[in-house]
Amino acid sequence: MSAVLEMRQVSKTYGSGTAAVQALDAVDLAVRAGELVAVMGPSGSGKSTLLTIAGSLEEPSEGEVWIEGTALSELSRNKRARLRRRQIGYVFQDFNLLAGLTAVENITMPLELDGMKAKQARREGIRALEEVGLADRAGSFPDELSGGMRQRVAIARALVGDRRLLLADEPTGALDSDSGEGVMRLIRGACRNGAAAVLVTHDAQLAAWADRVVFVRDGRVIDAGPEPEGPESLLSSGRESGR
Amino acid sequence: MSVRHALLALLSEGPKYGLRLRQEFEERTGEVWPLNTGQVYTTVQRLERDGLVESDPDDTVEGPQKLFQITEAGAQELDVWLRTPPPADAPPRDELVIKVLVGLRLPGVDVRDVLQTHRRHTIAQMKQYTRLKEDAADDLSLLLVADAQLFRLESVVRWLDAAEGRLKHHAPVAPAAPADAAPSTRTRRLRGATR
Amino acid sequence: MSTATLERTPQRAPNGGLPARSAVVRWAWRLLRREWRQQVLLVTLVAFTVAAAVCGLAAAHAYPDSASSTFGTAQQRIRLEATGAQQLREQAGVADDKLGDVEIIGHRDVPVPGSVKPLDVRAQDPQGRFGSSMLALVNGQFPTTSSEIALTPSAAALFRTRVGAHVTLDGQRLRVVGLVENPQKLTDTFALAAAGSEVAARPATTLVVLAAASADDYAAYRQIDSGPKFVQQRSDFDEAPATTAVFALATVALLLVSLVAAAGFAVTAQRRLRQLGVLASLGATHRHLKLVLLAHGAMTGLAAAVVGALIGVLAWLPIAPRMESGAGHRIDSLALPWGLLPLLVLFAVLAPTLAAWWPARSVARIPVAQALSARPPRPAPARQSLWATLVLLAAGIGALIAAHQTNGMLISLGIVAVVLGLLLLSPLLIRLMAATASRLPFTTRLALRDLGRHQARAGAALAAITLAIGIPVALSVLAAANVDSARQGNLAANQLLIRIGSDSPVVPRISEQEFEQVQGAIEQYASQLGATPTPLTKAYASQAPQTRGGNVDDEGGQPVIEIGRKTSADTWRSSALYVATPEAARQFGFDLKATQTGTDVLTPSTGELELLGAPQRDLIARTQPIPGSSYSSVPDAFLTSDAVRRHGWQTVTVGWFVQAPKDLTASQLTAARELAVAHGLVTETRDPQDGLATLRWASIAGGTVLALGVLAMTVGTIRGEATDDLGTLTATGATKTIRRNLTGATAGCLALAGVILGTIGAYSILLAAYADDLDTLARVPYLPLAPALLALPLLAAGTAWLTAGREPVSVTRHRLE
Repeated sequence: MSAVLEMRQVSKTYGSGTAAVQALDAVDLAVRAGELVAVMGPSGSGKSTLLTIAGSLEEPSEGEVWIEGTALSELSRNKRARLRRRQIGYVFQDFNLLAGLTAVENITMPLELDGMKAKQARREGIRALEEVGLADRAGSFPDELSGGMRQRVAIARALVGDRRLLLADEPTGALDSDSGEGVMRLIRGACRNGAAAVLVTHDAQLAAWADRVVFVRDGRVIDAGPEPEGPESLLSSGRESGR
Repeated sequence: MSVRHALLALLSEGPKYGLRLRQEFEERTGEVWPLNTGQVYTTVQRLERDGLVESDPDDTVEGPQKLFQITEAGAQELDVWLRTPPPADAPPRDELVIKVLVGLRLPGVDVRDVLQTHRRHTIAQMKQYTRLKEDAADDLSLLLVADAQLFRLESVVRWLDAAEGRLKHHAPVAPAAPADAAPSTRTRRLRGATR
Repeated sequence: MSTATLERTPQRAPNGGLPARSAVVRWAWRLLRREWRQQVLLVTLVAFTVAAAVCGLAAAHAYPDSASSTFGTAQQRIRLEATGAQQLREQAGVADDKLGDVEIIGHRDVPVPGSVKPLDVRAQDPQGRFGSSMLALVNGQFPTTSSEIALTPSAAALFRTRVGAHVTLDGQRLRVVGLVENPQKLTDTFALAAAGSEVAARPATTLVVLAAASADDYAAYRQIDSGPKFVQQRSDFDEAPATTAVFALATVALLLVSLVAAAGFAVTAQRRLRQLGVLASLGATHRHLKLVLLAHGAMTGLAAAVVGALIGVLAWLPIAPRMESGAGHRIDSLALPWGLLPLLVLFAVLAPTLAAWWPARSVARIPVAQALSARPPRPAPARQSLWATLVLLAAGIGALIAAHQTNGMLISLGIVAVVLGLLLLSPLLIRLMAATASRLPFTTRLALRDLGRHQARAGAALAAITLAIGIPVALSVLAAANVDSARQGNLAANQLLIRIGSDSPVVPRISEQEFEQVQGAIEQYASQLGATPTPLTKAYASQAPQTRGGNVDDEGGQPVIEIGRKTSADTWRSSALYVATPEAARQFGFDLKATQTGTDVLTPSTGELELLGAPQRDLIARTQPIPGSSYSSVPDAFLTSDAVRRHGWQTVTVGWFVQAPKDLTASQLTAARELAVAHGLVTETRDPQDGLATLRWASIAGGTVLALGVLAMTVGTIRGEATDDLGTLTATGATKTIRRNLTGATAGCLALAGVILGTIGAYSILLAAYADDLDTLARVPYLPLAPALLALPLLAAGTAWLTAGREPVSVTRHRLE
C-alpha cells in the first residue's frame, strides 16, 4: 500500500535575498495508512510549515508533495481546495472551530462545501459527533464547549466524510493532560481505522503516542529512524521502581 | 513504595490469608512493578514481629493458609506513612549527565548526536508506556504508574532539549575533531558552523 | 489514481455548488448576528442615507406641480379662444369630432372688485372623464343648477362669503352650495358652476378641451382647426427631473457611504482572517472566502436598506401634509415614487456589497497559512497610490472648474473624484504621521505608530472622519455664501416691496384704471405707516411681444429689460434692473447728476454685464459704480433714462418700495399681505432666513456626531486589536493613566488629521467649483466652523480618555473568534 502522504525533497524559503529564511530544507516524509507519525522539534524548527505544506495550504519552494498519489503541484487552486475537502483534515491548537456555527454545523461545513445537501450532511455530522462522544452537544456553539470538547469536535470535523489524512498541529497544546489524552486516543482510534495522521509537537508525551517520531531541527529532518516496536520490551528494560 | 506499607494497606481493608495477600499484591501493583513475590511472606512475618499485624495465635502454620489482620499500631503506621513526603533522592539520571559531560570533552564526538540518541531512546520508552496506557482501559493503578513513568521520562527529554539549547550558545569545549569522526550530516554542519 | 480519488463523488458540483454557497452564507449570517454591534454604526449610516433619500425622493416626487393640475388625466389640453359663443361651439364640435372622447370645460372670467385679477368661473363636471382629479369637495356639495356655485376657500375669502350664503359675480346672484378645491393646485382660485354648455347660465368665453387622442388624430385635428387656440401636450411637461436628480444625489451619497463601509469591512475582514483561514483549510475555494464578506456586505446593506426605507416612509407620512401648502397641491402621502424605491433599496444593498468586494478580494488572496496565523501581508508600496491620488484630485478639481457651477454631470464627477482622491490620501497621511512620530512624547508616539501599524483600518477611519467633517464644512460654507448678504437678509425689517406680478422678467400688464386703484390703495397703506411709496419702474422694448406665462392659466405679460452675467454660451444669470428715476435716486441714495453720458447702468456690481430682454443680443452695459445696499432685494441696478431713450425703450411701473420709519409690526405685515391679495399683488418683507442658519448648525452638529461615531468605531477596533499590547503594557507596569493617554492620543490624532483633511477637502471642492466667482466664498463662517474644528479632536481625545480606563480583561486569555 502506497503512502497516503509523501513528501520528497521539500524545501520552503520565505522572503528573498538577505531577508530569506529557510523554513524547510530538503525534507522527506512518507506516512502510510493507519500510521501516526509525530514530527517533533523545538519552536521555529519548521515543523508547522511542514504541516501546512503537507496539507496544501502552502506551496513548497522546491520538491513535491503527493497525497494518495496525487502530486499537489499538478492541481489547480480549486482542485487543491477540493482535495482538502475530501482528503485532508486539520486540527489546530487553537481557533479551530468556526464561531457562530454549532458543533454539528462545524462538522458538516466541509461536507456542504463539497456540495452535500444540508440534511444528509447533518446526518453524517451527528454520526461523527457520536464517534467522539459528543452527540448530546450537537447544538452547542463553540464558546459553550470546553477546550477538550472543542478539540474533539475539531477531530470529528477533520475525519468526517471518510478523510484519509489527519494533520494536527499541537492539538492538545491548550488542554489539560486529561482532555489532551482523550484527544490523542481519538487520533489513535482514527489511525486504527485506517487514517494516516501527522502530529506536530514539541511535547515528548504527545510524540510518544505516535508510531514513529521524526525529529526536525532548523528545517531539516535529523532523525526519522524507525524504532523498536511493541510494549513487550518494557518489562525486560528492568526499570527499577520499588524500593 | 515499600512492600511493608503495601501489605499494611491491603490488610487495612480487612483480615486476609497469606495467599490472598500475595495475589492481591500482584494484581494491584501490576506487571510494571516486578517484585519478588517471595518477599510477601517474610515481610508479613516482620510486620507481625513489629506488632503491626497480628494472626490467630492458634494457627502456627506459616504461609498461604495463615490469616492476618492489621493492628491499631499498624493502622497508625500506615497513616503516618501516607502523609510522610518521600526523601528527595529522585535519581538525577546521573549516568546520562556524566555521559554527556564526558562526550563534551572527547574529541570527535558530536554531543548533539549523543543527545539525540538518548532522546530517541527515551521517547521509545515513553512510547511503550503510552501503549500500556492506551490498552489499560480502566485500570487506574496501571494508568497512574504509567503516568508517573511518562512524566519522569519526559523530564529527561526536556533536560536533553535544554542541554541542546545550552550547546547552541556555548561553543563546544571539545578540541578540534579528528578527521575520522562519525561523518553524519549533523557533524559536518556543526563543524562548518564553528569554523 | 489521482482522478479516481478526486472524482469519487461525481454527482456533486465541482466546487460545491449551491449547498456550499448556502453553507457559507449561513455562516456569514451567523457571524453578522454575533457581531451585530460592530455593524451598528455602518447600518445606521446606510439606513440614515436611505431614509433621507426616501424622504427626498418622496418630496421631489410630490412637490413639483404635476401636469395633472391642468390636464387631469388627459393627454392633450386645448384652450379654444374664438370670440363669440357660436364660433366657440363650432370649434368644440370639431375637437369632439376629431379627438374621440373629450371633456369640455367652459370658462368665464368675472371681475373681482378692487383687484387686478379676475376670477375664473368654470363649468366642470366633478365626475368628468379626464378632469375629475382636478376637483375635490371640501365642504357642502357640488353645484347642480345654473343658480348654484361652489367656490374655492380663497375665492370665498375674496368675496367674504360662505356655504349657504349668496355671492354676486359680475352682477349675477348665485347661491354658494359648497367649497371646492383643485387638489392638484391649491393656489387655483376659481368658482365652480354646474357642468353644461353654459357657465352659470351665461355663455362661456373660452372652452378647454381635454382629450386623450392618438398622435395621428391629434395631428389631423390640428390641421383641420385653424381657429385661435392654445394647445398643450402632456408629454411636454416632464415630471421626472426632480426625482431623477434626487435619485442621482442619493446614489452619490450611497457611494460615499459605501466608501466608509469599505473601511468597516476591511476591519471586519481583518478580524476574521483566522476564521477565514480555518474555512480555507476545510476546503473552501477563493470564491467561498470572498462570498463570506460579500454576503456580510449584502446582508448589512439589506438590513440597513429595509430599516432605512421603513424609517424614511414613516418619517414621510407626517411630513407629507405639512408640505401641501408649500407645494400648492394636495399630497397623497402614499403616492410615493414606487418605481424608484425598490431601485433605491437595491442600490442600498448593492453599495455595501460592492464596498465589501475589495476587502473580500484582498483577504481571499492572503495565503491560508498566513491567514491562520492572523498575519496580514505587508501593504503595497505607496508610490502608485500617491500618483492615483494626485491624478484623481487634479481631475476632480479640473472637472469642478470646468463645470462653471452649471454642468451637473461635471460637478458630480468632480466631487466624486476629489472625494476618492482624499480617501486615497488618508493612508498616506497616516504613514506620514507614523513616520514623524519619533520626536513626539511617548504616548503620542506609540499612538501614531499603532495607527501606522494598522494602516488599512486607520486610513479608512481617517477617510470616514474626513468625509464626515468635509460634508458639513462644505454645507456650512455654502450656507454662509447663500445667506443673502450674510447677516443682512433680503430687506430691512422696516422695508416692504410690493410688486405687480412676481419677481420675474415678465411683468403682467394691467389697465390704467386698475393701476390707479392699486396705486391709491398702496399710498393709503403707506401713509398709515408714515411713509411714501417709491414707485419702481422697469424698461421694456416695445418690439418684444407680450407672452403668456409658462402656465396657461397665468396672465400673460411684458418681458422687461434685465441685467445679466454670462455663465456659459447660452445661459445668463440675470437680476432685476430698475429705471433710475429721481424718486429711485432719492430713495436708494445715488446721484443722478453724477451720471456720465453714455452710461447705461448704475450698479455696484463689476465685471461684464449685459442687458437682457431686448430683441437685440449682446448689449454690453456700460456701468458706473454706485454704493449698493447690503440687502439683497433692495434694488441696486439702475438703468439710466439716457439709455432708455437711446434704445427707444418704454417704461412701466412694476411695483413700489416702502420704507417705514419703524420696523413693521406683525399686524402691519398682515395688512400688507391682505392688500396684496385683494389686488392680486405680491409683497416681499424681511425673511428671517432661520432655515439656513439652522442648516449650518445642524450640518456641523450632525457631521461632528457622525465623525465622533466613526472615530469611536475606529479607536474601539484599533484598541481592541491592540489589547495584547495594552495587556503587555499593563504587565510591565503601565498605569491606567498611560492606557488612557494612549487611547486619547490615538483618537485625538485621528480626529485632528480628519478635521484638517476634511476642511482642506471641502474648501478645495468649493474653491474649484466657485473658481469663477470667488467673492461668494469670501465670507467664512468662522463661528460655527472654528469651535467645531477645534472641539472635535479635543472631544474625541477626551471621550476616548474617559472610556479607556477599564483594565484589559486578561493578559493571557484570547478571545474565541
